[in-house]
Amino acid sequence: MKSSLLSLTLLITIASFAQPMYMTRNGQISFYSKTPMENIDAVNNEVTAMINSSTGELAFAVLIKSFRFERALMEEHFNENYMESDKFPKATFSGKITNPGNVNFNTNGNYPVSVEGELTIHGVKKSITSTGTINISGSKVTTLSTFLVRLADYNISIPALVADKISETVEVKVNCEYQPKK
Amino acid sequence: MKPGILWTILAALVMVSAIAFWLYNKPHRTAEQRPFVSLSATELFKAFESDEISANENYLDKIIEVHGEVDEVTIDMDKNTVVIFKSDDPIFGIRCTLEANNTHIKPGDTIHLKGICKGFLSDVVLTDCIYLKH
Repeated sequence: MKSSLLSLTLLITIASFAQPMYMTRNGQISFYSKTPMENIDAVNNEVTAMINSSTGELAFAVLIKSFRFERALMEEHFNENYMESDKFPKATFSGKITNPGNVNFNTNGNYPVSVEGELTIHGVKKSITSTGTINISGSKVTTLSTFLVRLADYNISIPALVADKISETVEVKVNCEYQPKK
Repeated sequence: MKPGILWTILAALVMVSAIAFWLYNKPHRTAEQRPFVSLSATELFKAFESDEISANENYLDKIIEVHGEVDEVTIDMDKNTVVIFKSDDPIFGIRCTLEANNTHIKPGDTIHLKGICKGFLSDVVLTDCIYLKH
């Protein structure tokens, strides 16, 4: 009994060494809206993200209020009028790599991946798919992905008065550098 | 039309455009003002962990002064200094973004900061933080 317990503990220890979780609290998500009238971009450096290298599951979470715009007034409108960030303070993605066999977390390199999962913005949850790359460099893992978000899909309405300044579809870029979780 | 009315209209126009110009260029918020509340890192974390909705109502967008032991210091992608305060939780705590010139802060230090509360992910997030000498 005692030896089986010991081997179980050993197994769990080995498993957790062989299949680490990677985490970051300093991930970056930015978005870009382009119209002939005005280009708008905003950056968020406070993204928490995790990857489970054994299952290919991954999750991102971001606070709407910490997107930084060039102009304070735009930031205010984004929070108060479009994203209603008091009511919906965060956006999340949770999903998995659909081709996890393509990524070798123990060998340095650039691996193209496909990802599917659920994106929640403005309180609306939608299934999405995207492509990206995972870069392995020693113990550091970097994920990069760019995808499009249609504002109407997430019930984000743009008043007619500023409709020609804000694109109906914005480009979202995710760039996260992870370390093995302590 | 009387010249007096013309002048009034002109003055109103100038005022409106001045206000519009100021609004368009108004500066970003900073944490320079007096903090709304001063809490330990453990207290602030517990407030969000136990009841996120009411903690959001109380603290979101407010300037909060926080003190406690530094667990980790890192640098974000825009080279800002990031300080994590310890809490009761083994992994998560208070995550604070400061300007790049705060490299003197080291893990194990007990410090005070104030910043703008942005909400709760796995950590409570404060941005635009200012280091306070106590």
